[in-house]
Amino acid sequence: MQNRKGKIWLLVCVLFICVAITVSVIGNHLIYISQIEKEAISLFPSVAVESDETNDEGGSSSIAITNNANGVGTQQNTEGIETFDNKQTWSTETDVEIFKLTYTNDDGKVSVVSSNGEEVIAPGTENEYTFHIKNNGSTTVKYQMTCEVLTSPSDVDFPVNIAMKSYTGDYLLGSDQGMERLAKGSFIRDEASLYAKNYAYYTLFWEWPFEQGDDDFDTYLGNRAVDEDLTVTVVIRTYAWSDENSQIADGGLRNPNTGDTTNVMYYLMLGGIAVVLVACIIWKKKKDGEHDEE
Amino acid sequence: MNNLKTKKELKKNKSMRLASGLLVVTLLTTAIVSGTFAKYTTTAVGENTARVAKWGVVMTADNNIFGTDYKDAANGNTITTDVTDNSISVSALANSDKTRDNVLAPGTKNDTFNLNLTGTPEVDGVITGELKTQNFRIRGDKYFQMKKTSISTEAEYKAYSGEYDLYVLRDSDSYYAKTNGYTKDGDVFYEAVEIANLEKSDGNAGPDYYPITFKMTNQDGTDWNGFTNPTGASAYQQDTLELIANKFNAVYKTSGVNFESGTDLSQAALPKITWEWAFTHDDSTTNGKYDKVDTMIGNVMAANRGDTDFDVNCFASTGFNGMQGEFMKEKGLDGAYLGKPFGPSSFKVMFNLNLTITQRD
Repeated sequence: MQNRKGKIWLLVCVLFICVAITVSVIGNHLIYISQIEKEAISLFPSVAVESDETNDEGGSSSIAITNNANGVGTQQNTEGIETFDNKQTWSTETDVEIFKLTYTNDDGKVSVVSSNGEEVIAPGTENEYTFHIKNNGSTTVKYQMTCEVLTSPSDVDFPVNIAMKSYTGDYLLGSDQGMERLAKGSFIRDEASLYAKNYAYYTLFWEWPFEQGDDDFDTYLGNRAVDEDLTVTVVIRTYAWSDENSQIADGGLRNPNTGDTTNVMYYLMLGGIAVVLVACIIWKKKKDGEHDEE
Repeated sequence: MNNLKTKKELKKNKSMRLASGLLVVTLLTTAIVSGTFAKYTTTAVGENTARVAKWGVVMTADNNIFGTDYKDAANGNTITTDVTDNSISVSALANSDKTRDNVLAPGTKNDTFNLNLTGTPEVDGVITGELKTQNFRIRGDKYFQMKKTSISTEAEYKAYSGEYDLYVLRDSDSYYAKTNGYTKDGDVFYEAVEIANLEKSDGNAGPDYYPITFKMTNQDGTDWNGFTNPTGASAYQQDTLELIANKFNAVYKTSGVNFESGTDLSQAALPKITWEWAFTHDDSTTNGKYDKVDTMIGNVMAANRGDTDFDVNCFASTGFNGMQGEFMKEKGLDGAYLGKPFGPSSFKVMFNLNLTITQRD
């Protein structure tokens, strides 16, 4: 009985020590991160902050932000990462204008008009859509951009071509000589780093050629569309995260520690010593107890 | 002893509870630590969907322009596709291959040939088309039919009145000529009997006769695109089929008719085309001469019934003193017709209408 009681108390002591260790570790960390840091990357766009900063050290993978830069539009210089076009900033589910309700021909006359407010495509229609990824923070971030093309119904091979060009002038899909078939749009992918105050942009092109040698098929699709929705969906995703490998970022500011470099082993050793001490005390007590009984 | 035991049990419970509580706290703090070490990330998604723009243009034509069977006058003289219809008064006979050709006859007509267009496309478009036609006519001249005479003596020959009424031709001749005298011994004499005369009273050629008259109007009978249909004698004394074809092609072939996206094409003013072979011509001055021509046409066709490749073959002929013209020799001289070419060289009417609706870029 005495033995069992001792064991329980031993367990209690060990657990107490574990709690003490974790509280001390967390406490230090929480104190640190609770302070507002200029170099922190926000998860959400915050209040607009004026910034006249320019970065002449823009790396080869991104473009420095300057006031009134072309294509930036009227975006606020909010903290954090932004993806936006000339009309809006993206959120987690943003309806963008890759397709349109009306299209004009080469003479500038409207020649295609949706009858019900839904974006449409038709032979002879085309469009290009540009979006930006901007790093408003003061440290480097990495980002990944992917594209996915979904069509319905699945038996339709839409006679639509697609291409994407990056800010570097290189094509992620297609070329200056021509675009690729629509299904290949799902292979579009890019990954790069964005230095502080830099931005990258991409332009998506698509077309349904007016003359591509198969008017019968175009007519078939147009007639089928009377009773059935034949749809094309383009989904573009951007994913950005802090670059932990970048220790000293632009402007001499340290990357915020989204991790921790606390020497945990120190605390573990301390805890281990404490466990040993407790064990010794208990053993001593036990020994004393046995002597008393004798 | 029992009190001591109870005290020990109480102490044990407390220590167990304390141990359990600390265990839970340890687990919770462990979770917090793991969350604290997580990274900051940002995700954004841009998406857009489009559907194929609607076309859905459908063009149909009610009935054929010509038919194989026509109802009688009491039932409108119009085309019927019901071969058991008891009101049929004109019906094409079967050819040797059992097919039946579309036919035309005095009294037949068709006002049920309608072009229908439906659809409300979401794109701009254009209506283009072409009407190709061929009509036949009878020149405004005299028409004769050769009949073998029973002349066997010079006296009988000379007894014929009217120098120009007697023509002589031998079947072996490739031309005809008026005799300059009496010649026997194998010659066969044919008399040209007048069967129709479209000449003017002064003997000059009269206006040509087009038995089939065509009209092109809006669906409600009003003028289509400013086109005025000839009426009365003007209708059968000119090629109305060519007139409507010229107008149709001027509208649809030359430039087409544009429409904008969202247009209800059922409202597009497509023309209504009708035709008629009048049973009688109410011109008081005709004195039935057109009826005689109609009869001649019918007899010519009857003489060549069964010949699906029949064409009115005409060849120029000279040497006919006092009357020059073309001589139709199809089945031999006897019964052959003499007169100006019926032109074009067939009693056929061709009507080939093509309409296309195309998206405009």
